[in-house]
Amino acid sequence: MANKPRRTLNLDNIRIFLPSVLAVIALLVLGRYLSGRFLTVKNLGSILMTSSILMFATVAQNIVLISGNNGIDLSVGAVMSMTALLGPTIPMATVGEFALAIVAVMGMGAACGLINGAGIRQLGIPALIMTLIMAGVVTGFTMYVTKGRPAIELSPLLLGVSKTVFPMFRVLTLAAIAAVAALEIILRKTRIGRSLTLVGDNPRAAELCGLRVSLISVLAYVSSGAIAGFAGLMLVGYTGSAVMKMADGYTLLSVAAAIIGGTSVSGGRGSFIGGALGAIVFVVLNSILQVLRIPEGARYVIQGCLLVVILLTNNRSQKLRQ
Amino acid sequence: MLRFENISKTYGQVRALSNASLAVAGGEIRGILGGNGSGKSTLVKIAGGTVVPDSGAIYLDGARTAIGSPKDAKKAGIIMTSQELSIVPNLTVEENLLLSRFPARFGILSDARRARRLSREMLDRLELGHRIDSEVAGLPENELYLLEFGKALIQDGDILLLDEITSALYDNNVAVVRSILRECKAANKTILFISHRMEELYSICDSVTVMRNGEAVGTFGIAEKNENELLTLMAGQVCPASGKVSGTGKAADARPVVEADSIPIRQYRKSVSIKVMPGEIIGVAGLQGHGQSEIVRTLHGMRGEVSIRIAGRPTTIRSPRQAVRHGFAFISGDRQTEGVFKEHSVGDNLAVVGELAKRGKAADARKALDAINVKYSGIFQKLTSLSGGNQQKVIVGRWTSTDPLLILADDPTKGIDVRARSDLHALFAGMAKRGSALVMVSSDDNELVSLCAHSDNSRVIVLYEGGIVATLRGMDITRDNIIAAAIPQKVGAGDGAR
Repeated sequence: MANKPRRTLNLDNIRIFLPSVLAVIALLVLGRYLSGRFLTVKNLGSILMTSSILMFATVAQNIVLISGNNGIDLSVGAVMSMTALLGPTIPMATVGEFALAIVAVMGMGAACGLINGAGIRQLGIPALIMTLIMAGVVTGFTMYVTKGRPAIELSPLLLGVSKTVFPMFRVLTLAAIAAVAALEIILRKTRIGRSLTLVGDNPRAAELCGLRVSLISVLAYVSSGAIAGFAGLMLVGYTGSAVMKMADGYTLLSVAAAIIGGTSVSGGRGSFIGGALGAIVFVVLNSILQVLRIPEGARYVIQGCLLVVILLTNNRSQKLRQ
Repeated sequence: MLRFENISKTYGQVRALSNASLAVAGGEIRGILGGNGSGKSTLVKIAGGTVVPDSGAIYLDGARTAIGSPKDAKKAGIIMTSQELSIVPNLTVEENLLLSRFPARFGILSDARRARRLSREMLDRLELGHRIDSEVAGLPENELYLLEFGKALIQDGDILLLDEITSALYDNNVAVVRSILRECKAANKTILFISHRMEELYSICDSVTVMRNGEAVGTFGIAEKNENELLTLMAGQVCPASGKVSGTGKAADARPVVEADSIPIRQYRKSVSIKVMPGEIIGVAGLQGHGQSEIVRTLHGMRGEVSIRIAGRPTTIRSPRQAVRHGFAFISGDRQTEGVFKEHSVGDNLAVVGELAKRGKAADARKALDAINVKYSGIFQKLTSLSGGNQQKVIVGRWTSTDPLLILADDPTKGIDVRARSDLHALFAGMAKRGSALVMVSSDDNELVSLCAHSDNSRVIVLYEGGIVATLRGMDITRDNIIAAAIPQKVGAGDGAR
């Protein structure tokens, strides 16, 4: 009955990752077919770079989705937009200052997350409403503080995140891969990570077993905010300039990528690696739509339709398993 | 007349039914007996249209009938109750009752007066008349099941499929169900009655079909087989006479592990005191909702602050987490809502207390699972892929490695088949032997008798309206004594301390 201990990827994980991996491969082949310039090192590098930002946003979203209790963070995009606008105003002439600036933007995001978590956990406001309010408040706050004017001069250190380290991989891409891998290990192997998935799966049972359900849920929102704060600053480093609400679209994309990556909307199950693959799927898809010269507005329509289809299949597979 | 012919159904890799055939005549009450996972519920769900079989056919009065949805079933006069209950928490009892059949004028306008009369009549029959306008969310569990039963009755079908409708009911409720089913029988209705409680099958049914591994292995007149013969058939092997349990002998010199002077039973504005010795097994009996659950739930920190003494030291428990840190374990009979982590593996479900909540070392999951006699194929498989009894064993198992001071169990074997139940009893007895005390609420008096009567380190306390009305020990622990104490107006009540 008892087979040898086996700690490698089990079938479940493969089943979660497979759809995204196949989708990426199929889309890349399609891209090659559509344009000879699609499968170049330069284009792939820029796809990976764009994906990196979305990967961070997706990680932020994923933590909250996994934490359950109908968890969702609709303020991810707004928090990113905030730090994208406010972050560059922090002086970062030296590496030390740059590190401090990163801590500062993560702190700003974490503060938003703390308020989200407290409102949801302590006051019992549904996550959907609480984080939507937060998105509005954060946007308003940003507008009030900056009057909509971004920093003019960007620090070279910040712009350095889009430097190419070796072909296809820029600084931020490597950082994103490292972060996703580290967080996946935390989620699967550490007490706090495993507790998070258990709390998300069945908060009542988790509480009866003695897990700190409130603390863990609030921490989920705090980490989500902090990571979104970081992602916002990195976005400016990549694009080179900031405008109001520039990252608002990441909220929807982060939810979409997390779900493609196998995260359960009802909590308790999810994977950061899966989410990262989901992020790549969306960026490659968007890039193909660009190759096809589909205008920006129509791209959003297509992405939205696709998301509905994915949600449908996601729901169906859950029902079949009962 | 309802006939199932060669019905098969597979869920994923689990074969729930294989060529099950079964026929029930009008005016017959047929009991169905089988372990968890034997296919009883699936069979009922197929007739009720919520599950579509892979193959096989259903005949009604000799005519082959296709049932593809609950609507088809209803049209054919088949009404089923669900183990999972089909009740809407935010509606009142009356609204729930009439959910599937609201009386109407001209087919569209609702007829409130007739609705009132209809529901009043039904609720009176169920002895729930006083609840007509109560919101369902606040009702005790036995009344929910009665309501589910009433909801089925009011639809007035020819065929009633009752899936464990009595699992949370108390003897007085069961008597009501029994007399109503007699009336249905007289009206020539066909009734399938699933239950794990033997004495109900004997007192309610005309005949019984035993199911095992997705097949109907035999149908008998109810008088043809005795309890042990049925259990043997159900298990497919000789079944040991149900759990003889012995606790440790020595208790006189020990100090109580937990003393609570005042556990509030809010709904009756009373409080009870309880003193638990190491290794002691205390059964908590009484009619549903008389404060039994409150005792274990309050002690586990689920009802706010409670002051107790642990090994003589005054302590305040404010949350389940604090209770767990003081060495308490809580096992709920509501597996789905309070026990199972459905997205998680057997191993994770096992590790949650010892490794995560108490920050202990990772235990050897396989050794632990073998020790608690769980049937599984790998620790990475989802807990929900095991049968209900095995799931509950894993839930108990998550506490065993921590050697709890006090195990609090709220009807932990509800809806679990007889064999798994005796395994669980053995588990509890083993933990008691290692020094854990056990306070266990049960809605099944026989269970408390078999768990407590043969041990000199056990007692059964009986609650009535929030007070302990009797304490039974040793040979005094009999079903008759428990019932007599639980319904004091019938007999002059045991210790009468209130």
